[in-house]
Parts: sequence; C-alpha cells; structure tokens
Amino acid sequence: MESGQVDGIIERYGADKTALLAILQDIQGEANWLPREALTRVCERVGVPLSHVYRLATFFQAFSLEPRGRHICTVCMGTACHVRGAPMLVDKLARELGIPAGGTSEDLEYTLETVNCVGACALGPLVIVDGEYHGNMSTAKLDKVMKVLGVEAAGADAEPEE
Amino acid sequence: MAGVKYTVMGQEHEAERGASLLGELRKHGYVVPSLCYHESLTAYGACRLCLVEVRKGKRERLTTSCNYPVQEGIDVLLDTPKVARNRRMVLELLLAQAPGASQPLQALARRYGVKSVRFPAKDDEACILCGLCVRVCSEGIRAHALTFSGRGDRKKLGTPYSEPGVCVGCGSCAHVCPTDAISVEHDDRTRRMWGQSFELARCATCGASTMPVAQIDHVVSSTRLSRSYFELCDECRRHQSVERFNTVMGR
Amino acid sequence: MARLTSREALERLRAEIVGRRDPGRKAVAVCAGTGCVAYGSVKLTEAFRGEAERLGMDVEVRPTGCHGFCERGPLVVVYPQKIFYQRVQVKDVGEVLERTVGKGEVIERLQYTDPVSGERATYEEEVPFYRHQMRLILGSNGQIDPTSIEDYIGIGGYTALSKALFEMSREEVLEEVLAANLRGRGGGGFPAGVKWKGCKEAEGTPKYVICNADEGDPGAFMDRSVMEGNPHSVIEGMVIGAYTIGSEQGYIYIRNEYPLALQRLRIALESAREHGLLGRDILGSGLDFDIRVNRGGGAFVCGESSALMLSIEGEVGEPRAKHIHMVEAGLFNKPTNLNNVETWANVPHIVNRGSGWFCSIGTEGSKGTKIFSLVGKVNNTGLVEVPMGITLRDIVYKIGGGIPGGGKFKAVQTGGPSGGCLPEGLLDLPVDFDELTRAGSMMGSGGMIVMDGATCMVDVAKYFLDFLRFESCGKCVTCREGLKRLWEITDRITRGEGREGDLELIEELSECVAEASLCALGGTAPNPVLSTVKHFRGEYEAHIREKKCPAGVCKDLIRFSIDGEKCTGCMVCKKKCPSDAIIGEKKKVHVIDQSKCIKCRVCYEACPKKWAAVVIS
Repeated sequence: MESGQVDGIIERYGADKTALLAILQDIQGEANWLPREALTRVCERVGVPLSHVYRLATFFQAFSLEPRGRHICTVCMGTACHVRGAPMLVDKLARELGIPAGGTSEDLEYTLETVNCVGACALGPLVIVDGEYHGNMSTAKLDKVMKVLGVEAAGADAEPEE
Repeated sequence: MAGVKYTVMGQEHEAERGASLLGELRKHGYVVPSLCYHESLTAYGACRLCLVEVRKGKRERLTTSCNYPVQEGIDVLLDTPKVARNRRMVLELLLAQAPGASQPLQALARRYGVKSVRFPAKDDEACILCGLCVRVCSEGIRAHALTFSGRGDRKKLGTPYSEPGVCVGCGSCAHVCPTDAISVEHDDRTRRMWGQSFELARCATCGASTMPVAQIDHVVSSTRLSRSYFELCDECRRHQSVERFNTVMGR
Repeated sequence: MARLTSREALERLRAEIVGRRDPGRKAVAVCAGTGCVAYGSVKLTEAFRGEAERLGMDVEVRPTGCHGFCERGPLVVVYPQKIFYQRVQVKDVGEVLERTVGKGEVIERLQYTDPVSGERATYEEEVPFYRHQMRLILGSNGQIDPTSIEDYIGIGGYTALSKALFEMSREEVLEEVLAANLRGRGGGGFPAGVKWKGCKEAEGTPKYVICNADEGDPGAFMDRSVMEGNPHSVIEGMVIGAYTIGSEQGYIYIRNEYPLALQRLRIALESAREHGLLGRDILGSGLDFDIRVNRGGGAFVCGESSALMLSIEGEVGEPRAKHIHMVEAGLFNKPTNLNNVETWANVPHIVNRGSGWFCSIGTEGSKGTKIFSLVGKVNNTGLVEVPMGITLRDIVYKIGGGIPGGGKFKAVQTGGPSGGCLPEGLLDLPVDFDELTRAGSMMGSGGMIVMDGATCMVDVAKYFLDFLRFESCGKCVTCREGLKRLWEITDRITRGEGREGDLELIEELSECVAEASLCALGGTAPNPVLSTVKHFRGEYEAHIREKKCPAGVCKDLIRFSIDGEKCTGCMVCKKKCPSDAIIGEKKKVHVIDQSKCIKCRVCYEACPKKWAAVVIS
C-alpha cells in the first residue's frame, strides 16, 4: 500500500488518536489486511507509538496482520447458527479448502474466517462468500457454495444411484 | 486538599478524595496482597488479589482496592469470608496459569490457604499478564516497547511483531515484574533482553559497565538531563561530588 | 431542499407530503432487511420495477425495512389493501402485478397458510405470527422506505422532537421518561430516566449522548432491524435526549458486521442534517446537536459501556471499574449518557403519547414492549415485538408456531452469553426483567433461542464459554483464566473425560468468576453453564458417568451407523464421505468403518430423507 493512500485515509478522519480505529478499518477495507508499512506510517502521522497501534490491531477481530485471500469465506458462529449446525460447516470448509478457521491458503486465494454473529439469525446457519449471504446452509448445500469459489468438494455432484 | 473520612473495620481514617484505597490501606499498615499494583503507576486491577468489601450506604460490594477511589463515608472490610474464598480461587487460577512463577505465588498460596491446584498447569510460564512491565515502559521510561496483544485467554505480552523494536535495555520491566518472568542476561560488555543485545556504556573514570548506551540516548533525548550526567558510574560520581564539595569548602 | 427553520415549516412539509400521498395509491412494499436481501429481495425489487414499467402500470415499488417474519422471506405487502405475501420469487412478479395490484385478486400459493389449521391469511394482522404481537417500534418498518426522511415525516416522524423542543421544558421531558419507567433495552434494564437525570445534573461540559448499536449478543438482530428499517426513530430519540440532558455531541457506535445498517444510518443522518433536524439550531429552537458514527472493530466486550467509550477514545476496549458512574465521568471523562438502540427508539413514542399510555402496557416492573429475535429450533423464526408480561410459552408456541419437524421443546435461551437456559417447566414465566433474572437467566438484549431434543445442553454451555473466553478483554485473572478453565472442564465432559466433582468445581469456580471480575462480562459469564447445570444436571451426569450424549451431538460420545433395513445402497453417502469411511456397493447395504469415521455428519445430511438410513447413537 502506498504511503499516499494511507495519508489520504488519515486526512479523511484527521490525524488524531480518536480516529485510529476508523483509519485502521479503512486501511483494512482497501488493502484487505493491515500491512506493517501502513501501520508505521499511521504511527508517524498520528504521533502514537507502534506498540499502541499493534495493540489495537490485535485486540479487534476485524483486523488481520497477515495478508488475506482473494476470496473471503465467513461462517457465522452465532448461537442460532451453532444450534443449527454451523460447526459442521466450518469443519467441512476447513477440510475442503485445506486451511484452518482463521487461516489463508498459501496461494492467497482463500481465507476462512468465523465471526460471532452477523445478525441474520433467522437464516442460520449462514456462510458469507465475498460479501454475499448464503442462508439455510447444510453440509450438502455447501457444495454449491464451494463451486462458486471454484472448489470441488468430495462427492459434490453425487446423486443416489437407484 | 479535599480530605474524606472513611473507616476500615470501624477504625477511622482520613484520605485525599479519589486516592487509591489500596495505597491508603498500606500506608496505615493493613496487609492486603497484590501483584499488579505499583504506587507510581496507573492502577490496572488485573490480578484481583487486593479484594476487599466496601460498604457504602446500604450496599456492600466486593471490589479490588487498587483502583477504588476513596470516598466519604465508606466502611472497608478486609479478609471477610467472601474475600478469602475469592482470593483462594484467584491464587489457584494464578498457580495454574504460571507454574513457573512458583516463588511468590507459593508464598501467597500458603499464606491464604490454597490447598491444591485443580486445573492442569502445562508449561513453564511465569507471566501472569499483570501489565506492570507495559505500564513502566510506557509511563515510566516512556520507551513504549512493550504491549499486550490479542484478547481473552489468548492475550499475550511482548513487543510488536515479537521483534526487538524500540526497547532501550533499561531493565525497568524486569525490575517491576512480580514473578521474575522477564529474562535479562549480562556479560561484561552487554545486556541481552527482548531479543536484543545492548552495548553497555563504560565509566569514564574507572571503566566499569554502567547502563546500555541506547538507554542513555533515550533518556537524554526525552528529558533535560545532559549526557555528561551519565559519564561516570554511581561510585565515581559520588567521589566526584564529594571532591567538588571539599574544593568549594576549601578543604 | 430548504432547511426547516421552524416547527411550522416541519408541519407544512408534513402536510404537503401527506397531501401528495393518495391513500388509495397502488404500491408494492418489498422487505429489504438483511434476511430478505439474503433471500434475493434486491433482485425482486428490481424485477417489480422493471415489470411494472414494461406493463405500463402506475404502481410505487417501495423497499422497506425488516418486517420481522424472516422465516417466510422474501415478504411483500400490496397496498392499498395490505395483502400479505410470503416467499415471493422473481417468477411470481408478473402475476402479483397483474392479478393483485391490477385486479385486487389474492394469489393463494403466496399467502401464509397455517401449518396446523390450514387457514390462509390475507392480511398481515391475520397471520398468527403477527396477531399476538404489539409492533410499536417495528410496525413502522413496513410502511416506510428507510432511506426516505419524507416517508418518516409522512407517518408522523419528528412530531415528538417538535413537541419536546417547543411545548415542553427539559425537566418536563425528563419527568415523562422517568414516569414511563423506560428500562434499558440493551440488557441491563436500568431505568433510562435515572441515567438521563444523573447526566443532566452532573457537573462538567461538554456532555455526550451515545447510542450503543454494537449488538454483540450472538443470535440477536433487533437493533439491526431498527437501524436498517427506521433509522430516523433512533435519531429523533437521541435529539430529544440531547435536548433534555444538555448535550451537543452524540455518537452512534455501530457494529462493524452490519454494513447495511451503517449505510442506512449515514443516509438518514445526512438527510436529517439537510432538513435542519440535526446540526445547528435544530428547527430554529436554538439547540445545536450533531451525531458522529463510530464503527466497532469486532469485539463483543465493546458493547460494555466503559469499553465502548474507550474504543471511541482510540483505546482498546478494556472495561474500567465504574466506581465513578459514566453519567458523571464517561467519554473523555465527561458526563455521558449511553442507551441502547431500542431504548432510544421508544423515546419519541413516550413523548408523543405520554408516560401514562406507556405504563398501560406491560407489567408492574417492566413497561412497554420488547423486541425479541426468536430463532433456533422454532417454526416461525424472525423478529417479534411483544408487550412485557406475555409468557415465554405464548411467544414460542402462539407466535413461534412451536418446534419444527414435530420435535419436542427442550429449552429456551435468553440474554445471550449473559443469560441462561430455561427448561419447559419455566415456560409460563412472563417476559419481565426481574422475573427472568430471578429464574437464573435475564432479559438481555432480546435474543431468544429455542432448543429441541437434538440440542445438547452441555454443548451449549461449552459454546458460550468458548465465545466468552475469546471475547473477554483478558484483563482480570478471574475472567480470563476462570473462563478458560470452565471451558476446559465442559470440553472434557463433552469428550467423555468428565470426572466426579466436575460439576461442583464448575459451581465453585463460577461463583468466583461472577463475584470477583471487574465488569459485567465476567460478572454474568457463568450464567449459561450454571443454568444448564441447574436445569439439566441429568444430562451432564449422563456425559460424565455413562459417557453418553443423549442429544446425539458430542462427537466423541456418538457413533454413526447405517440401518441395514433402510439402506437401499444408493452410494450417495459413500461418494460424499471425506474420509473414505463407508464401505458398500451399488444396491448393497452400506457400512460405516468406525475407525475412519470423523463424525462430520455429511452422510447423515446427504442420505435422502425418504430413507434416512444413517443413525446417530
């Protein structure tokens, strides 16, 4: 990320400590993660030590200090979704994508994340792929979602043989 | 000075309004244990050992005393059964978290009646995440080298990105750590801590090692102390002061 | 658009809007809450617009906020008759326009049909889900386009603000809110009027008012729907609050995970400013007040008021001891009044209709209505707004339509991670702050999760502990280490490694976590595990002593097998099994190799329902 871009974001809110969260959110929004150079630039301009910004970046779940994949796959782990089987979905996605929950594939194609409730509880369990919500999921329906990601799950098109 | 009157188990005392209750209790000789409190640093309230019960009006409340500001008319109760029960559990949790910190923790455990640790204690960990090191680094020496990262039971202590960073090697963190969790190694010329080797300055008179050059640089640039103050070791500086005094007095 | 610089100007605008509107006008309202959007309502709206144009029909297509009946989305209401349709698809659009909008004919297959009685409902009020509700706050959602301030003004919006500013003194507004006994809807249930009074009388300026829109309880989405569907109601409430307390700067702290609500809120704030209803000299009254929006960063603990304020200050959300109240020293150490979204949304109603009216609804200690998100193992999932005092049983059965698939009710969880699970025996409890707390749960922000026989209560306790140990800020030893150890114990129990004495240890440790932690997160964290141990002790003991999971959930205690009498050898499960654990040939009974089975449930879900040959035991 260019320092000019970071400066632009800082201008949006003002180079003040109270604006730090918003600045970090916008950087994450544009770069898909929080690159170290961006953070050091923020520290310089806002006048806070790196230890403080690092603390913020690791405290809030919204931020990632590692580059994230091109496709972000998020599984909601809210109570309603849990009761309807969300952990099985995470397990299946982790298996098929080959990455643990919270991880990113080596080729930076996929990131699998969990989030503690997106507020679409009536549609649980829910998987969000690149911002699109897929509700009423089951391990079987996941196959279609994974196709969208370009991943073929084990036995994806399996039909009963009569 | 706004004075407030309060009582400790019926005994009357006076304090400045808003003063730390723990600080005040200790001034009067009451024994209240703590691990994360230091009178020169902001109270944090992490270790939960300094629990007391405070009666205010009709309400009685269990609270930590380090971050409780003394108020008019409160009655403080120490060592009640509620306090004792919670303190024992806190110590049990601490022993399970930091088996490597056995020295101070075992002493407290013995004193306050912890019988056994019923939780699995896995490794050699000595850090109890009390935050004294972070606070002394940011409020005291003001190098801002240490920080907490993460949250909840994944909370950790260290330097940003686990790299040496801006540490100046002053050792204040190790000095305030209640459980000796920070390792500082010395040899004749260097001090090693937080993954960095610091060259030690030498006394201009006797050549003894004094403190890291980096520390001197930091203090000189952030205060009005001049570099010349750090040229001599404590011993030689004392001699110099005495000599100067004698010269002035014509002895 | 000219700024409204007086109360008269607002009334003139309102009259003009109402005058412009033909009550007989044909319109199609399409629910555009997050739930229906996930079901495709945006495409549906576009389809309606496109098709209406193609047919040359003069009909308004209006996307609205959440109607609440998420289970049956996408929801559509046809005006002026207010005919209610559910599960509307793009392929239905033409027919809806031609038959219903054009001729007033009702399309049977799109009507709500009661699964038990078979009765069809034509209008929203006839649907049992809605019939038992009292939708004071949510009711407006269906009538307005949330991005249109004119729609809000048209239904009476900003009347309360106008009345407060020009007909009532600050003390009179405060008296009304106190008399109404409006208790915090975010979970604490603390009387809003008492907070307002404390802040108004506190020394120091500036004073701040905050709207807590963090809604961190998993399973709750009430606030989201209010903000997405009627953001102006919240803004109006806050301006009234600011007037009363004497504040010029407000904040709305909104959860990062609600992008749509954030968008609608920003649009609403901009139009309120344009119309002179926010900012300098509001409606010419002399009141200056504006609102900033802060986004959360994905931290449940930031729903706690001191942590929220620290987050606004640019610090991590580590709660601080509140021996000095927030109303005296809160944000930036100044007097601050914080209330939840739903609490703020109630304020205009109280000002308009009076505390007497508000007190006529509800119980002795809990007045007004409460919005709940009724979710989980229940037929009619969605948002419900009910008068306080209604029983849990009525909510789950009359409104919720009972348990799907003929399942049996097991428990209802209220209060999120700070609440508890209540068993069947307590279903006749009324929804009331104090009654729920006495029973070992709490009202909370409104999440109400229904559980059936296929839910393992030990697993539920473990789930909440897992959530809490990660969301805890980590400062207090009791909360951080205590929750970690509580999780460890329940985890062991779910893996068949429970020991005698575990339940007693859970109870002992829980007491300490609750008593000796600094904030309410730690203070209420043991509630889920304690309430399940209390009401479902037998289930825990089955896990510990018999190493069995009666609900068939805990992986280490169950096994998947195939019923030889039901299996037709169709090969589906074998193909889908990720660990090659199924042995079988076409038309021959399949068998699961237990040594390879990873209990992932894929076979169980893949086996066609007509055979349902996979058995969990």
